[in-house]
Amino acid sequence: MLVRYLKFIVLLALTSITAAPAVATATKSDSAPTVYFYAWGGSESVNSYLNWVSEEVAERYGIQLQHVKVADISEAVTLLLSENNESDSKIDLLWINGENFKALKAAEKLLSGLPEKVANSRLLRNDLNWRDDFGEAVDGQELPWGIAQFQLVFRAHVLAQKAPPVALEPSELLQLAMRYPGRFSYPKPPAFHGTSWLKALAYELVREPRELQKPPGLANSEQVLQPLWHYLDQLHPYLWRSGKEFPGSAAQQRQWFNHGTLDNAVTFNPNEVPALQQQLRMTPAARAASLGSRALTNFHYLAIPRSSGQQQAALKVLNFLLSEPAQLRKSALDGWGDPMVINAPQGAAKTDNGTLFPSHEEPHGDWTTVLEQQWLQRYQQ
Amino acid sequence: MIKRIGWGTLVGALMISLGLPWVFVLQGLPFNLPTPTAQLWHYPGIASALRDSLVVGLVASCISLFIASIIIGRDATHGKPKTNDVGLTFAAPHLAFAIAFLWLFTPFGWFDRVLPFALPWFEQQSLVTLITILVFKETPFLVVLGRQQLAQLPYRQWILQGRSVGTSAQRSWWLIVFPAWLKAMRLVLIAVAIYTVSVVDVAQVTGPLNPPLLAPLVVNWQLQFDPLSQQLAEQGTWLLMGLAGMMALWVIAQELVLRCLMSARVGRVVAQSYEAAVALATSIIRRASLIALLGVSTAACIALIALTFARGWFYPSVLPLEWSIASWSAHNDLLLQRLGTTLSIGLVVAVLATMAITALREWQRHHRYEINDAWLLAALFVPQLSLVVAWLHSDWSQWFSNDTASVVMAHFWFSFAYGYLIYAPAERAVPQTHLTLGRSLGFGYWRSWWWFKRPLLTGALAHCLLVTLLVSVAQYVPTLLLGAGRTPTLTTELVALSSGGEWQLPAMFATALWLLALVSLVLTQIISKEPEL
Repeated sequence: MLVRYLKFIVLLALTSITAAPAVATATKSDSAPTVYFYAWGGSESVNSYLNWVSEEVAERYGIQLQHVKVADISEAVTLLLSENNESDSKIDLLWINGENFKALKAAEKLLSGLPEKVANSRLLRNDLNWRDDFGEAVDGQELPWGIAQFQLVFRAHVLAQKAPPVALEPSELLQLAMRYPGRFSYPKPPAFHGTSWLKALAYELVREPRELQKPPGLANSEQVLQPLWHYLDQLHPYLWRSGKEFPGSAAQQRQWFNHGTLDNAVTFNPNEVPALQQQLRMTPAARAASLGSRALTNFHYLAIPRSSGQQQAALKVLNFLLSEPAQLRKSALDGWGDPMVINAPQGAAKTDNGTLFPSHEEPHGDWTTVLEQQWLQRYQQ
Repeated sequence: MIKRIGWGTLVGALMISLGLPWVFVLQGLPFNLPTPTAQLWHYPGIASALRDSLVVGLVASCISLFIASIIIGRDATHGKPKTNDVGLTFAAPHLAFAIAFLWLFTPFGWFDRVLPFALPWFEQQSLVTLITILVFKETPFLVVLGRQQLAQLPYRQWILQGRSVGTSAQRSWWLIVFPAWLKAMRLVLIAVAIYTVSVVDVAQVTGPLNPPLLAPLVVNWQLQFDPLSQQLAEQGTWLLMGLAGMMALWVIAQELVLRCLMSARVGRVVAQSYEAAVALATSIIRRASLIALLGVSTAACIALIALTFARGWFYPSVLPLEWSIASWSAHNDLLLQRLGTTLSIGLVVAVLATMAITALREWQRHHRYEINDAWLLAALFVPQLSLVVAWLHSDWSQWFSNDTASVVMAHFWFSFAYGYLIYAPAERAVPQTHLTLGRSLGFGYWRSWWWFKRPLLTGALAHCLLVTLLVSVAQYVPTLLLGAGRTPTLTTELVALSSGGEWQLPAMFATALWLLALVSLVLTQIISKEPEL
């Protein structure tokens, strides 16, 4: 009886596993190389774009591109950092920036010399300072994929008296918060957008913004940031839940904005408002604004693990992602709407006209930790 | 061949497969305890995080137990219990239920838009909202498993005996049956209490964030790579394990106190008016709870389904700008693929885990040797992300180089603990006499088990299969990290999609998960109703 029972179980197990289409797909890479691309999966527009890329690279190069959707790319970084093997990493291509890049670079996990290995890197715009990723030199270990610019989003009636493009000084924002108490908030640091909000504010408030480009000294960081904390002390009582509680992420804040809980949101995609409105994913009553006359600007990148077993195929995919058709498609407002990092092809309309503000570079990377720790000390009790 | 090897060897192999992950944990989990001088205690808000985690654990588990006891008490005293009154809520995936709940019952939520008057709605990111959602999810779990445990007790005779000495059925339930039921439920209650302090996804979406509860805080640290965060994650993991241990002790203490209170009241005479008042109060609480469970779950389910068809549903509109099936038609292939993988892994895990649990229980009964449950349930005591990260830093991948096998192994390990929790108490309540009888008739051990003992355990086996399947279906971190994205399931898709700011696609996957669980529950109930020998 036990033997029959076991046979039944083994049969069931085998049948189930082979019947699973997704599992089966993972094993049919005998002929076509499969590139596992780990990327955040929280946006339908981004996911659809990557579906299109998969179809294109399958047709052009015979490569199967599998988008491995993650809730937070740190999960993929955890996986990569834990791998001990020198070849055949589980990850072939990564969408990263900032702290995650810094951790992988420090652990020497990334393939270097990408500009030389990816032909389309010559198309990259010269006016963009993408060689520093949050204060960390890129050193050929990643290539920019898109432009991110920190912007605020408000319900239209809040900015009724402002003509576009709207640039709000911190004092004006405080006035608005006082006029609409309990209606504004920001993502809680150390969430990525929350820390970016602090950086953007710091640029507008500190006496010597150039100080932020240098490494923070232990003694002077408190002094440099004093105007920022003073401002937040004034602002918090007028925020949602009196500044005692915050949304956990920019995505959550956007949900609350659409839901009516808040009258503001934040974004790092300068085309997000028009793109999402076109797709009925953001309320028509939304308008973008910059915090100050210059907006915090950075880039999001693509990198290939040094131990990827499909480096050549991954390089081909990366090259395609920086090609004119791929970048044009990415920047289309009926899709993702992410601005191009390559020079616009002749005849093609620039998609960031009117949505990109003059830019502030990211502060030196060490300010991230200082800002986060000091914010937590002051406001998380 | 297997007969020759003997099932003792099989059980030995099983014990190795259960023990091996612990070896990997010890290999990969740094021994960085939260000593009084540890960095952890200097982290801003750590005291609040710890206090709030305890409050959630104690309040949610107590309220759930209270409501479940009243519902089960009514079952025990009023003949055959209903089987599907809490099914819809039981089957709801936690995250999906939480998302729909917030969409409906928060300020500016759908009901706030529809109703012409203001109500004290559930605030976003609040302790009260989190506790309420956990009570909504845990109560049906306790009711479904509680009914199964109740069925193992001779409660009808006990209530009859009570009534024969002039005690009302309701009083007999509380004084005679309830203490025994509570004891049988001990492991389930410990698992629920530990879940409430270690839950991450629901806590992040609905609970306080400034500071977060301890479990989400540990996860946040775990996913940052600077030395300080890594150190905090290591110490936080041990603190969370300590908190889980405290919850287990709390459940045992609670059981002892309640049993003492009940036994102290045996034989006391109470006024009829008092008893009538208690009966009325419990009846109201039971009805109100069941109505709330059914009503909120139905509303949440309808809301989720509606969200899958809605385009452009913004405040203050009561209805969306457009209804469309475009999302379903665009993503049905993906949905079916994920469903196939989810079901395949889930079924394999459920069957293997149930078989392993059965074999282990039989081995213990046969050898009259009880392995301490704590050893077998230890997987429930440690935060999952810490375990998985420890495995990633160990030799796990060398042992399980195949991604699917790695995922199945991890699911099996977590499912085993929950399945054992369900099956073991039920199995212990069944005497071996039937099996012995079968053997005396010349049948082999397993043939006797199949024909004489299994029919007595049909309900327990079915629930064991159900729970192990649902545990497997719900896994995110092990599926993603150990499977390296090669085995995407409905849950990995839902969690990834939910990290964005959109409703429609997450609602689709949440609906699919809910339906899958509901169908599994209905099948379980049908199987459980098989005529017993």
